[in-house]
Amino acid sequence: MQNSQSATVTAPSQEGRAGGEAQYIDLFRSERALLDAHSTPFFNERREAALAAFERMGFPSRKVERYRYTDVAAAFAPDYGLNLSRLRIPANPYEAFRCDVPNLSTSVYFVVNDQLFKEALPKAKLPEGVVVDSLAAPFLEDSPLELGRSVLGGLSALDSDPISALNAMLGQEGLLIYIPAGVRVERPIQVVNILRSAVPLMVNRHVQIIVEAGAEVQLLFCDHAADDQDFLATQTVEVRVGEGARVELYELEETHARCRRFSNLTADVAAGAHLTHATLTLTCGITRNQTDVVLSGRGASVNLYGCAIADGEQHVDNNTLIDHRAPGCKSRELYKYVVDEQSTGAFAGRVLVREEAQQTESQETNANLVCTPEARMYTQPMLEIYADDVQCSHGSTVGQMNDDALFYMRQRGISEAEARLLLKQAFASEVINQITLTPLRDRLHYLIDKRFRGELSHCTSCRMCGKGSL
Amino acid sequence: MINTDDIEQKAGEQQPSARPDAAELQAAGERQPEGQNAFVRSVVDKTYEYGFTTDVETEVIDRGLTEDTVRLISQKKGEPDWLLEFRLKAFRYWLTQEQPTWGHLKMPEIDYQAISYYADPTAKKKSGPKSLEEIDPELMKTFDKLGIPLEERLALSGTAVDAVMDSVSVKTTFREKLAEQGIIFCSISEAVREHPELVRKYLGSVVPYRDNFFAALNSAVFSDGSFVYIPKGVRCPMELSTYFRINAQGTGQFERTLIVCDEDAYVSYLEGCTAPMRDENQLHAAIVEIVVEARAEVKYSTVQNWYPGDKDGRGGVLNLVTKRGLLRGQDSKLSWTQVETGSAITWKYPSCVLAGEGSQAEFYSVAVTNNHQQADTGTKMIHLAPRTRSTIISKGISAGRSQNSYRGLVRVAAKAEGARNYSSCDSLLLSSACGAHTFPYMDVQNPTAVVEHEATTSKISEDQLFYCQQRGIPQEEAVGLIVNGYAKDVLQKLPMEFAVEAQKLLSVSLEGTVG
Repeated sequence: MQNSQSATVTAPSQEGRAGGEAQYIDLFRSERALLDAHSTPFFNERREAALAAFERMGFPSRKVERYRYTDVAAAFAPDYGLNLSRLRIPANPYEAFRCDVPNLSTSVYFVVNDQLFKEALPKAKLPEGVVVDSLAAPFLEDSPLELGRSVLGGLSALDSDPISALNAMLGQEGLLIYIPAGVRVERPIQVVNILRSAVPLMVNRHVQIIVEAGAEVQLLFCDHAADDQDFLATQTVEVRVGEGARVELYELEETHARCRRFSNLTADVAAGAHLTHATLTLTCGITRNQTDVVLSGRGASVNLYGCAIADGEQHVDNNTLIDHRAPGCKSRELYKYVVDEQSTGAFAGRVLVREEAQQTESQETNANLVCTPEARMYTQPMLEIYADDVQCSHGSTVGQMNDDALFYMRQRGISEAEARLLLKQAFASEVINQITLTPLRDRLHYLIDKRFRGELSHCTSCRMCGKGSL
Repeated sequence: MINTDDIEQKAGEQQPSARPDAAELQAAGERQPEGQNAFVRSVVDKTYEYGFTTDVETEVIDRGLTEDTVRLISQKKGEPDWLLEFRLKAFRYWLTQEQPTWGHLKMPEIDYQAISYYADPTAKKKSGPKSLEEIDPELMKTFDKLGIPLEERLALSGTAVDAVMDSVSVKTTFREKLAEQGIIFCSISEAVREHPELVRKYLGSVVPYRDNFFAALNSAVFSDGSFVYIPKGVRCPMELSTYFRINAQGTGQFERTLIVCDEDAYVSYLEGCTAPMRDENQLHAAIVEIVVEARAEVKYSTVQNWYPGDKDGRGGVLNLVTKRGLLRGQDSKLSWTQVETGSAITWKYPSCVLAGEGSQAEFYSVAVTNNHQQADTGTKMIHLAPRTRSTIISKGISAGRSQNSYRGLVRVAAKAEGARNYSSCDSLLLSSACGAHTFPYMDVQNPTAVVEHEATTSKISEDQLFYCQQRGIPQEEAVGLIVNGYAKDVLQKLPMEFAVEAQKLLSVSLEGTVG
């Protein structure tokens, strides 16, 4: 199986490589026909523009304000293969994998690398009109979906963000989640992203989430790596939240040290709508999540939560932008980091309140625990305000555990290690407690507890390797 | 029930009657009458009070900047070779650099070849003034208007002053008295002549010429500035003060201040700035370097009131300054206090490098922007040594169509065990067309460090305004009161006579912004 898989992988061209960018541009030029032949039309339409943008920008250096904390060029420098011919991976993820959140009944979809695994769709039916399918679906002739093309795409900043541009340049398949107006999806929709390959692999994922007016949905994305291999995943997620709609989107990453994840999420929240987005990074190599939310209608609101637990050489960078464009909007941000050993954490949150966005309420909090002298934390909470009738605040702290609290527990016979653990858990739970899906919240408490005890291997729920730890 | 609108109207009615008075006062060029109410009304028209030019004979060298210009400045000042070498190195480095653009500012393009880099109002006297009588009477009038306590009759105010006009230091008071204690307080050109070993040792040691674009420019063409040396164990008995004024047209001011406070010494240093009204932008690119040795303490206070440009944003000073203190010794202390009300553009970050164990740094700032002013200011606290502590209190006030940004960096290096920082920056918005922004950067590498940052942005409280107005305080005055209260944390850190001036400046700068 592994042989056949590696044969399908096309290695980036070795010739004419001047810099990291050239590797990808050359590959694009030489394999263009193959790319187009095996892609959803949606991607082929935007390839040229994406190429032009990427050629112009190249990989962002650390002098680019939004990318100052992550060395992008280094992460993209190695040779990764790409599965351009879209050969299916002949394995049923159900057998190899279970992302088990006890008591949480979800409709589970698997995305293996960047392909939706259609052989294993959930048995329970989704409510009428709800679509979870490959992005190719709305382009099929017999498609019942009447989505204007203008609705699809258009949120990603292809012309200003190099990672989004590269993703669009090489992207082939996407996932579409569509909730029609007024439909309330009771059961959370879970998308499990699994990285599988026998050779170093690059995947380019794209997700379109369209929630029409008045609809409600809870989404859970889990990232896992099933092979101990070098992976590079770029991801663009576009979320449209229609008037009065309500979306909760949780992203949980449990990969390993050889994985690099660059995710750009762009969301547009219409009048009276609400979006909650949480990013939980438990294990990873290099992770950079960029979350851009536009509050475009009166009374829209957004909550962004993030929790990162990093050790070893892990690098977690969360970069957010909340753009208040309409009056009476609310935004709340809470990000917490525990950086241990030699890991690096970075948080940059920018809240932009435009002139017309009067009566804005915005609150931004970032708290961090730095556990060793080798660990490093960067934090940068920014407010940019052009309206006068606003209430905005931000706070951030970097520190260590409270000595008094430690002493109190030790006095009561709790060992120092246990006391430290409890404090770390308490620290992280402020974010976890924001999650409204109770089974997921309980599961996360459990995972974080294991994570702090060092018992969480690179993927607990993977039956395949069964090694327990690497 | 009292309707607030009525009160606003009444407040509005009062204003026109005050206007003619103000105009008369302005015409007479007099200082304002006593008392806050009268004062506030007297400046309703909000013209820039210090916008007079002094008609003094000034020697200005040709516009443009080449290596020859640098050599000419050095030659005019009769400098030793090492200093010329320093300037040339800086100039050559400057040529390789481009003006940075990362500030949250809309900068007019600066034509560096259209500026004259040296203007000397004292040129007609070959060797510079020896006594008060020798100073050009016009110049003395200038300083009288500025209210600088230049003359000995102001000895009671206990301030020694070094006044720098355009590029040249015109007068330093109290020299002898300070010299008795071994304190050196003179212009930097004099220091180069008389204490070359000290200047050579410290010049560029805190802000190297490669530091940034404007530091390189300043290092190449700096013309004058102040030099202070406080010897070991000496507590400077009075406040030292420098007044800067740009007078000549089409010149830039590139002064350089170097303060060295030796072990166990103490000094409080004040800096004030003004410039006349000009249509074009004037460039001010200064460097302030401070070295604080073990257990020494330096307080540096600035009241910056450069010409902010007119209502439509024409003219005004571009204030692009590099200020940095190096806390070299153990338990040393440095405190920056700044009140920024002037300048079309303010772009500066008075910083502290905490290299001595247990050293302490403070930064207190009030930045007011009105009309089309822009400010991108804040501080950098670089914690390098264990047990270092820093505090940042920043208050931004934006009105009119101005943009006011706080930008700060707190860095804790791996060796800075137990470092502690507290930052708080608040912004007050007085109009719907202005902007207030906060860009704090934190970079922490030590697990024992505690770094905290908090910031709030809001507009002036309607309740507070209503409360004041209900009690018969006109709106303008109420705003003044509230703003002064808001800025109190910083103002009270200023030496007394500066605090009074700063309070007045705040009111002047914000005249006519509400209602």
